Amino acid sequence: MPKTDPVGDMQMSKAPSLLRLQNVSKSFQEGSRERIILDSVSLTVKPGEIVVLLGKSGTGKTTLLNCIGGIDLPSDGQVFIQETNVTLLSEQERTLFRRNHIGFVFQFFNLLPTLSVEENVLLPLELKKGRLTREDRGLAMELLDSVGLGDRLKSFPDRLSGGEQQRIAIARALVHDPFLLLADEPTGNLDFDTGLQILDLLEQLSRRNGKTLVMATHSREAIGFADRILTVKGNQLIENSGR
Amino acid sequence: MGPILWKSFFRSLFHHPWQLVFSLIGVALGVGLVVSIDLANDSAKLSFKLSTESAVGRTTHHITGSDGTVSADLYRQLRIEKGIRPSAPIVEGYASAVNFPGYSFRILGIDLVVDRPFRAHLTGMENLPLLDLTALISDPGTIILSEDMATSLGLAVGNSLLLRVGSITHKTEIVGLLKPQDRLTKLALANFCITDIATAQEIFHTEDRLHRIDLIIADDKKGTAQLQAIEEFLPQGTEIIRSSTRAEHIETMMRAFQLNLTALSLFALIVGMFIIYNAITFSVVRRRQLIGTLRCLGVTRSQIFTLILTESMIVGIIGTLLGLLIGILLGKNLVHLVSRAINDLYFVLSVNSLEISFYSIFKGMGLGLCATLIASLGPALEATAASPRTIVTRSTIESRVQKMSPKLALSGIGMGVLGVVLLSVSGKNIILSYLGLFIIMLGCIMVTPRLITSIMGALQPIALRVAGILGSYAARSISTNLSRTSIAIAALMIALASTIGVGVMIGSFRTSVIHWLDTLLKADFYVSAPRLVATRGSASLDEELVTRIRAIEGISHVGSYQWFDIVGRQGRTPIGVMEVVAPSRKNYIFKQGNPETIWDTFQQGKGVLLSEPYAFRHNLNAGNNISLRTESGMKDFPVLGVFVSYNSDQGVVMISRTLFKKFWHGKGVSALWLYAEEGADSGAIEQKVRNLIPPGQTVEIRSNKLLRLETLRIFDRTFAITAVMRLLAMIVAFIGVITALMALQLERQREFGILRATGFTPYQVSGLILVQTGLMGVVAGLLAIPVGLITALVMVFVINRRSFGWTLQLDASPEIFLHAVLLAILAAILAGVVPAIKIAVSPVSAALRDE
Ligand SMILES: Nc1ncnc2c1ncn2[C@@H]1O[C@H](COP(=O)(O)OP(=O)(O)OP(=O)(O)O)[C@@H](O)[C@H]1O
Ligand SMILES: [Mg+2]
Repeated sequence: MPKTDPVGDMQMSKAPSLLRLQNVSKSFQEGSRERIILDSVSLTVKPGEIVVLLGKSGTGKTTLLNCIGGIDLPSDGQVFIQETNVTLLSEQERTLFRRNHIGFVFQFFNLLPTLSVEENVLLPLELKKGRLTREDRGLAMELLDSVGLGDRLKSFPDRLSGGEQQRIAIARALVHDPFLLLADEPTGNLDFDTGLQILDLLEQLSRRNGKTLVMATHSREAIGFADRILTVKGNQLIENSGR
Repeated sequence: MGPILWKSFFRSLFHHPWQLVFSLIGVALGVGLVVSIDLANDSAKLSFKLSTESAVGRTTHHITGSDGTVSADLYRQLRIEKGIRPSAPIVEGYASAVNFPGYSFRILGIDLVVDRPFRAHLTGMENLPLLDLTALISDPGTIILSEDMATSLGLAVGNSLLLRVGSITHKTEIVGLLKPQDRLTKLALANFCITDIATAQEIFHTEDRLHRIDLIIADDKKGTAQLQAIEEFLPQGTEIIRSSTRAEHIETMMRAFQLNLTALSLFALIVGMFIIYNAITFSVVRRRQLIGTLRCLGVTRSQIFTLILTESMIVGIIGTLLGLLIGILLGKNLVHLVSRAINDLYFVLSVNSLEISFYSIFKGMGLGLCATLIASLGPALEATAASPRTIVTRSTIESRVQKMSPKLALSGIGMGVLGVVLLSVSGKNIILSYLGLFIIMLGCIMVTPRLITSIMGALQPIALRVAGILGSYAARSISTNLSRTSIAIAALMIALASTIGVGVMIGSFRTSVIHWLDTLLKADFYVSAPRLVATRGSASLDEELVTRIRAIEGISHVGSYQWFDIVGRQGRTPIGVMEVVAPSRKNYIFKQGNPETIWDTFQQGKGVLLSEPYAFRHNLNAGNNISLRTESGMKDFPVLGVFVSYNSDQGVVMISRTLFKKFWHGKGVSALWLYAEEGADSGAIEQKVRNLIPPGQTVEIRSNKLLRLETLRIFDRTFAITAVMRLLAMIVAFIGVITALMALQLERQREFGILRATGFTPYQVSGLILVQTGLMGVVAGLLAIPVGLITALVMVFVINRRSFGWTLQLDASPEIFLHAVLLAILAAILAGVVPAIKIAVSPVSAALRDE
């Protein structure tokens, strides 16, 4: 069991939380200079919440998501997902944690170009369970149907449009039933309408499956369906209370 | 790991099939060369071993005299008076088949009546009809051959076969054929020719003497007592020798020769490793996106590691199998070169076929797989060590290499020093010497990245002026892609340096030999019996002929030479008996000793001269004493001097005729050299000599020019295998470099696509690629010059000396260096052609999407 810091954490630990950041800081070494990106950021996200991260380019949204997903480690502070302190895990444990409990959607390079659409979606399941059953395939099929691409199973990603690729990425992020969905500008390189469709799909699927979603985006439209909106600004995370 | 994960990784292999092909070529060629040399060496060794074993049979000990003969009386005494049985007399030697050039036979003269316990089981003579055997004993000049050999020469029982020993041709008749049952015995007996002892004595002109007396002595108390008794009975100058040591002594003779070939072939494997390393690194770099995504999805480091290693091992296995195939095919051709070189240098050896030993195949497989594993370990670790984020950024690798390069260079210098230290403390050990050379080369590789940055920094302004911004960009991006460019450049540099090293070594050798021949060959004519082993003239000229040649009018001086071996427990000591005449004295170059006084002392029989390799091998110097076995036991002789001779790497102990007559017995002369009187018509003298040769004798009469030419021809022949290996290694290097550079450029298709999109014309981008690979070729060529020189120095002054005992004059002819640089540039430009065409003909969009 990860130990928690007893000080300054009283109210937060009371509420049932899925994700909890505690004084997370992140800085990068560039040459001899140290650049601080995040400075003691704290956040609690309840299960099933949809959180949207806003902020100008270069402010640290991707950095924050990477710290949450265990792709990167914070320089300081802790990240809890469920009851697990991700920051205390070893590289190997973090990888396995990610594999089992987190789903990712990125802006670029989402799909593996060497795998067909169906295989792309099945890969996280295979990683998690080792062997695939007929039901697993059914599940993948169902998910692909729900993103409207049930007829493209055997296609390879380079034959798909950007929007189609993003829809498959969403199916893939959900297939292994993760606690937490992380999306980094999923609509970043899509046209306005397609972007809206993708956002819709993400919201729908998250809500329907009861997933917690943290999404970084520039898209104002995302604000419409968010439960909470946060902005990264000046190395801090600011809660937008009024819409 | 599940099938989808495997697929995600392996499918990309087939998206870039040329990548696969390059790696396969790298492994296959490297393994192929090693296996071919190994098989050729082993075939030579096996053929020698089998033939020796068959000749030895069940013999445990044999008795022989210091000059390699014993009197037949001794045999009779041992057998009849002392009752030592089983015992058998042997007269043996080599003869060439006059009508079948290139074929030589090992003639084994035995006494059929007593020989059965020794060899009957091997030769299969038990199965021969009695009549044939009777003919062998009763009819002189009759022989038995192996059936295979007879068939391949188109001979049958009743046919005659002309055999030449020395200058004299003997007519023999085949009265039977051996039909060995198993394959190995067939192989062993292939060039055997069995005769009765009387026929052999006739052929070898030994009169009443034998070459040895074979014995079978039990390894027990009784046997020890018997040995003791024989030992006491033996007269001075004869010795009883354990038969197994004979083969060992001869095998060590060719060790250095074979070791050097192996080292050369290993070099090809190292270049092959570079190719693999490059290919795997490339496949990792190209898939960094894929690996990064997989890592984000929760694929662990060890899984990525397994994927990469599995992929490279598959390439390694297929490549190794291909390599084995290449090795066998190549070995079939190399075995002739190897056996011919051994024939020229050491002893008569007839290798008729390539023996494919499982040990060699196994070794080749192990080497191929290990090389692949070692070469792919680095890239595999690199791919897994980085966190999922950093894999995605290529620049981190580059900046790390940039930052590391000065440290790497410093360690490289350290390695160089270490290599030099190893060279200086490794004594005469050839393997350690090669290791030292290898470490020095490794040091040079480590310095390369730093040097490339400096050279490119210096070239950039020049490139800017010559080729504009494009040129400057070409030069700069060599530095910015250092992690990849430095590998390619270093591989090319090392490959070139090695060819320079071997080339300079062969060249220096040749120059030294030419200088030596020019000094040595001053007589007008050289008369000698044909030889089976080019560097050793043990065959004798007919005595009467010698006397008559000496009497020819118009000849002022006649020198003579005779070669024999002192045989003993310590192996063979090659002895040259020389009759030095006044004009010959200044033809010798002395390394030690005073040339002014040396000859008089030598002629008086007050000491011996050593050739340089002999002195080196036995740690002897002028002033030391050398112990030689004579007819009257061991005797010490002072070493008067050490002279230069490139005749044989075993070296020779030269003694005067006076000394020879005093301590050994035996007669005959292998070669004569004739000085014509001043103003005499040399053409007429040559004709006179020719007229003296009776029919049925073959005598070679050569002018000094001709002899010089022939000696050089033999020299080139013994180096043919080395030259071929050098060429093959160069081809491997060439292919390796092309693949490395091509991969580098193909990997940057996307970058070039961006250039095209920004408005560069296809010509400009193609030009950029060619300028860049060309520049890399130039840099590799330039770096190869000093490294090649270092390699050459080590090869000439350390490895060659330790292998063969020769001091060579360094002959670093500029052509060798020039060729290397041109080769580098050619390879580099060729490597640029495919990517340049690809970028020129493919649409910009395709290049941009390439990833
Ligand atoms: N590995 C790294 N080394 C150095 N600096 C980094 C590294 N990764 C990110 N940064 C810096 O951290 C800052 C935040 O980067 P990040 O990618 O998190 O921004 P972002 O908010 O996602 O921007 P965008 O909206 O453009 O995607 C940037 O200034 C970036 O330059
Ligand atoms: Mg970002």
